[in-house]
This record gives sequence, C-alpha cells and structure tokens, in this order.
Amino acid sequence: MRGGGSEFETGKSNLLPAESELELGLGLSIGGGAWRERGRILTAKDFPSVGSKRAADQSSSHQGQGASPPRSSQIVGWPPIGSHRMNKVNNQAPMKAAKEEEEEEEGKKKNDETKDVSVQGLGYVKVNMDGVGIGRKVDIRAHSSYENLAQTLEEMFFGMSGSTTSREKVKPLRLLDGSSEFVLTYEDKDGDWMLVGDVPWRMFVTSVKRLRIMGTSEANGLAPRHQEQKERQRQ
Amino acid sequence: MDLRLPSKVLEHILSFVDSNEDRNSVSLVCKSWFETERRTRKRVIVRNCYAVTPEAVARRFPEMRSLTLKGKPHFADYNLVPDGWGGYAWPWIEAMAVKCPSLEELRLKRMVVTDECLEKIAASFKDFKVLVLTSCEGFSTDGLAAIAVACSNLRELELRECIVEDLGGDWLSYFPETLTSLVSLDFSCLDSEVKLSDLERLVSRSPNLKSLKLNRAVSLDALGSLLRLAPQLVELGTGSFSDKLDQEAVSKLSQAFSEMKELKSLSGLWDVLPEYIPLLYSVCPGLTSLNLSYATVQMPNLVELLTRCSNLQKLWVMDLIEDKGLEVVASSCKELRELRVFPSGAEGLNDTNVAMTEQGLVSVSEGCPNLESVLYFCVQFTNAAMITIARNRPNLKCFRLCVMEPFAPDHKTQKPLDEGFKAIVERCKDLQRLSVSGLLTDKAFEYIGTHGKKLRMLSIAFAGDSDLMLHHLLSGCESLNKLEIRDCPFGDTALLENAAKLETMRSLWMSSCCVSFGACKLLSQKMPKLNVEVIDEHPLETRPDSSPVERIYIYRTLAGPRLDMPEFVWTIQKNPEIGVSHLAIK
Repeated sequence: MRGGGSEFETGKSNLLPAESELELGLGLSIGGGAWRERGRILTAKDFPSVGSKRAADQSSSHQGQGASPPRSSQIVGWPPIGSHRMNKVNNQAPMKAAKEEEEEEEGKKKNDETKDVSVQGLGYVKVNMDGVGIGRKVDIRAHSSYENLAQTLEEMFFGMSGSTTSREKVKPLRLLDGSSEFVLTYEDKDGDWMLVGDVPWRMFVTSVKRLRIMGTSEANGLAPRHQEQKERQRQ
Repeated sequence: MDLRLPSKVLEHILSFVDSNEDRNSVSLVCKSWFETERRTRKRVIVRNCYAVTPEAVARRFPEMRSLTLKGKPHFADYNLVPDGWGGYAWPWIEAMAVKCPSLEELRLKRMVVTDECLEKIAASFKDFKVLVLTSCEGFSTDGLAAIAVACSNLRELELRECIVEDLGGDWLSYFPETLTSLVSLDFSCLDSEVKLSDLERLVSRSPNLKSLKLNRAVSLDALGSLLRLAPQLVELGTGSFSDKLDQEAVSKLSQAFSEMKELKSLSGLWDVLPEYIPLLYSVCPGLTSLNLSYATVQMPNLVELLTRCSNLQKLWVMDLIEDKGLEVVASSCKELRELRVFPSGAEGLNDTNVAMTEQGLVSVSEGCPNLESVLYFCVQFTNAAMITIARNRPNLKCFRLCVMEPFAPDHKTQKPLDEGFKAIVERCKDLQRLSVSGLLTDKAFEYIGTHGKKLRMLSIAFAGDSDLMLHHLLSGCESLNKLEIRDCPFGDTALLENAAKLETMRSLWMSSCCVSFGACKLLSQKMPKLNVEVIDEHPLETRPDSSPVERIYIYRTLAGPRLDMPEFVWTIQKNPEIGVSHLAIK
C-alpha cells in the first residue's frame, strides 16, 4: 500500500523511493496521506453519475478514504461564479423563503431544511486559523450541521496546527467539543465574535460572516458557557 | 534632407491617436517617435501589475492622467488564489503620488486596496476625478469617506463587486456641499444604509449626474424621491424593489420612471416583487442594457418586461428566465449583442427536468443576428446545439459555456462535447474568448489549436486526457494571450516543449493539474523573462522533483521577481534553497 497505512503518519520516513514516484498519474504519490487527498485532481470517478467511460482509465487507489464524492457545489471555485455574486445571491435566500410562502400558486410551497441549506449552495465565508498564514474559504451552505462543518474545517486545516515546516504527527482538531487547544469562532452580521455552536444551525447560516479557529486561551473572553465547560472538565 | 517630422507636428498628429494599441505601434517606429509618444500619452493601461514597476511606468509617461491596473489572475474571482497572494495597489499609488501628482483617474481591477491607499489618493492628487474599483478588496467605508471629503473635483466613484469592510453608511455624508461635479456614483456592493437626506442633497446638487447605482439598503420609497431629483440619469441601479407601497406612492414612482427619458441602463432590482414590474414598462423601450442577474424575477413577469425591450443590446439574467423566456428575447430583442445567464441555484433548475436547457441559447442564436458575446451557465448541453449555434452565429467573439456538472457529456448522445466546440472554433473565425466545459477529450483541444487562430483568452476546467491537450493549445493558438486551466490531467512535457510560447502571452494559470515541481524549476531556469510562481500551501524543500504542485502562475515581466511574495508563493529567486531541477532536460 502506498504512502503508509494511516493518514496520520507523515514525515520523511514515509517518503517512497524515487523510482516509484516518477509515475505522474492521477494517483499522486506524495509522502503522507494528508497530502494525497489535497493534491488530488478530481476526475470523472468522483462524479459517479456522469462520464462513466473515463472511470476505467483512472488509478483506483484513492477512491474515498471515507470521503463522499463532492457535489459540484462543493468544489472550490465551481461553478465559476464570482464570490461577490455568490454572496449577494446567497443573501436572498431568506427573502426568497418569505416570498415563497406568499406565492403558493407557483407551486413552490415546500421549504425544508435540506433545500434551504444545500440548494442555494453558494455562501462562502473566509476561515482563518491562528498560526496559519493562508486563509481558506468554506461554503457554509453546502453543510447541513455544525458537525458537518467542523469535519470539513478539520480536513482543511488538518496538519496545519504548529509549524508548517515540520511534519510531525498531528491530531484531529475536534473543534466543537472543547477538548482541543483550538476553538471555532465566527463573526456575525453585527461584527461580534461568537463561539460556534450556540445558536440553531439555520440561524448561524444566515448570520455568519467569517470564521476563525483560535487558540483556546484567546477565546476565554467569548462565552461564559464555554468557560464553565472547561471548569467542569478540570474537575 | 531632414525627413524627421518636427516633434510639435508629431504631437499634434498624436493628439488624434487615442487607441493605446496604435500608440504602442507609434512608439516602435523610431526613437524620436517613441519620445514624442511617451511624453504625450495620457491614458496608461497595465494589465498585469507585476509585469512592470510603477517607477518605470511613471518615468516613461510623465504626463499620465489616467492609470488602469489589473492585479490578481482571473481565477481569483473563484477563490482559487489564496488570500495574501498579492496585487497590492499601494506601491503604485505611492509612486504616482511622487512622480505623477497630476493623476486624475485610477481604475483598478482585482487588487488589494487599503484605506491607507484611499487616504493617500485623497491627499496626493489635487485634481483627482475618477476612482473605479472592480473586484477589489482590503478597504473599508472609512477609506471612502477620505475620498469623499477631499476630492473636490470628483466625477466618478464606482465600486463594482468589491469586498468592502462595511462600517456603516456615514461615508456618504462626507461629500461636501461644495461638490457639484459628480457624474457617476456606484455603491451597489455595500450593505449599510446611507442617510437618505444626504443622498438626496448630493443628487440634487449634481446636475451632471448620469449614472447612479444604489445599494440594496435603499428602499423603493427612497428611490422615488431620488428619481424625481435626477430624471436625467442614463444609468440606474435600483436598491431593493420590494417594500409595500401604497397606491399613491406607486403611482408617483411610476410617474418618476416615465419622466426618465434618457435612461439606457437598468440594474439592481433586488427582491423585485412581481407587482412592481409594470413600473418599469415606461423605460423599457429606451433600454440598451438590462441587468437582472440579482433579480429573482420569475418567468411570466420576465416576459412582459422583455417584450418591451426592443432596443436591448446587453442582457444579464438568471436561469429563472428558462427556455421560454429566452425565446421571447429571441423574438423581441433583435439588437442583442451580449447575453449572460447566471445560475440561480433555484429548486428545479438543477434537476434533469430543467426548464432552462441548451435550447434557450439556440433560440437566441437564431433570433438575434448581432449576438457576439455569450456567457451561459447550464446544467448540461449537446453537441447538436453548439453546432447549430455556431452555424447561426459565426460572428461570435466571446463564447463562455459553463456546463455545471463537471465531465457532463452530451446529454442526448452521451458523447464528449468535442464536436460542439469544434463547430464553434471552426465557424466563429473572430472568436477571441472561449471557456469550455463538460466532458472533453484531447480531440477538442486539437480542434481549438487548429482553428482558434484569433483566440486570446481560454479557460478550461476538468477536461482533456493528456499532455497533448496543452500542446495543441500552446502550439496552435497563435494569438493566445491568457490561458487558465484547473483540474486537468496534464503536466510537464507540453509546458517545457512550448516554453518559448509563454513569453508571447500575458499569463498562464494552472491549478490542480499534474505539473511537477521539477518542471517548474526547469522552466524558471530556462526562461528568465518569466516569473514562474508556484503557489502551494505545503513546503517544497522536502518535495521530490516529480511531485505535482498545487498551482502555478506564470507571467512575462520586465520587472523581474516581485518583492512582495507571501510564504506560500515559491520562486527559484526567492527560495534558492529549493535547488535546481533534477529532471532530465529533453
């Protein structure tokens, strides 16, 4: 098996000998599991509903390490709509919801959660993590819950905690349960920074402007509830 | 006999030469023409801010009054360029403040503009008149206040699709009472509410105001009073179009619209309620440009609007228009030149029983003889449709088709869309810009390379099979200027074999492809006149030469390697520790 058994193992000892790395196929053999998922080109195999004839050509070693095929709205920068337009159209979602209740004869009655979150699908917010120079963007509306979002963020920033020049063993961030050294916070429409998870998901979706993964020590001033939890954990 | 034209005569002649392309040619004739031309050029356009230094530009064109700059690569619009990559306006503004204090106009696109930049502009250019920022970011409404308060001859202030830190609507109140020169104001991308009374006073003391684009926070009621103060507007971007107005307010608004005899361009219309669409009927016949791309107008209402727009040349709309709506466009808007259809993400339009298909575009191509520019987002497409479109409209100059499902084949035949794009490039001999999508093999790119001789800009995503794809393009497309590619499975060979081509192009962007680290290094070593930037979030020191890089951005430059590269941008100049390439040189 290429690249070592677990996604967690990184480091020079896992680098494959040069010969096997000259194969520049789509199964990019870079030392370390974390890299593979990120460096991979999306191929037709990732979109099982279309282009089945291409599937046979691609290397098979990376089909989902538990990851489900990305929908077109979950690929970064796809469809290629300017971020400004995405955010503006996005902000119409709540408006649309209200209108749909009025325009019943148009047959657009239902307004369930999944539709609300997934179909509008175009709301990117910036995410920055303390200690990491590069900000990312995540599509809030392509997620259905806090757990879902935390998982995406953990995958995104996986292995980014600590120095970027060394590749030590990394642990999952576990952003939501207060057990790691990082917490997930967000800036809402009023410019206040809040801990993620305090309000119902749908409310969060409409009010989040950007996210920040900050060190627990910094987050102390944010919410009494979190502080209380930590107190409890210490006892 | 001295055959040289006296420079005064040449200057006079050049005062009639407006186009920069012509002026560039003039400057190549001989040294004295170069000198005369450079001393008289007023309008300078730099399409890659890293291709040349600000000092060099200021030195060459001392009489510059208008500067246009573009920063980040186009794919930055789609979040493919990490934050902090570059494109800073500051060095340019700082240099011009010293060397060209008579600068009057600044137009920036995809650049990072800070409040400090805006304050510097306000403080340095005494006769500053025009500020147009397109897709820029990094500033707040405080910076706008600085411009408003200080630029006493301001004519144009336009913020097009910028990301602004919105600290409130106060900035508008900083325009002094003495400012009466405003011709164009566009704050449509801001969120906060401005003080209506200040806006009204500003509008009423601006007799030359021709273009006003409001933000969504401006209510429908407020719109009425503004229109009454500025019936001479040629371009209008409304605010929110959804308040509940009483009958009297509605008829007053209707009256205001009917007084607008000069109106040619209409946009905004956020949240427009169907019952207010008739308010627009009186201005429709005069419109040449209509931007409904933020208006969630459904089909039946759209029809009524469009049938009245017989002079429309430019239409931007969402896919809520459906095929039926596009048929109406085809029969009513015979002057149409540009069509853009954006995805609404609305329910039902992303399923297979879509109401908007390739047929909509086919209808428009049949009905609108002047159609030359298309941007079309669609769930799927067919070769037959593209062949028909090409046959109908060989005059197309810009064809951007975005089939939203990556790798989607022709949905009727399940074949790749190669033949469709072949027809487009074969028939549309003047095609300058092309975006391809859907399932495409190397063949498609062979066709593009063979026929796309006038093609200047090409965008590709999720396509092709091998290196041949890139090879066809770089060796075949003679006019190629900008090439941007994402998620395509090719790499080094074509790039290295066609390295010389890259010096004839403005830029090449490749992300999530198979370009190896070694090839990037080799290219940098071979081509000193190019900046080869590897944009990769993971450290490269320990990477083997064969490992692929996340993104590369290659552009020709006279300025050499830039000095403002962040950690995640690697070049062999900035990062000599990464060493030379170990790839065999073929």
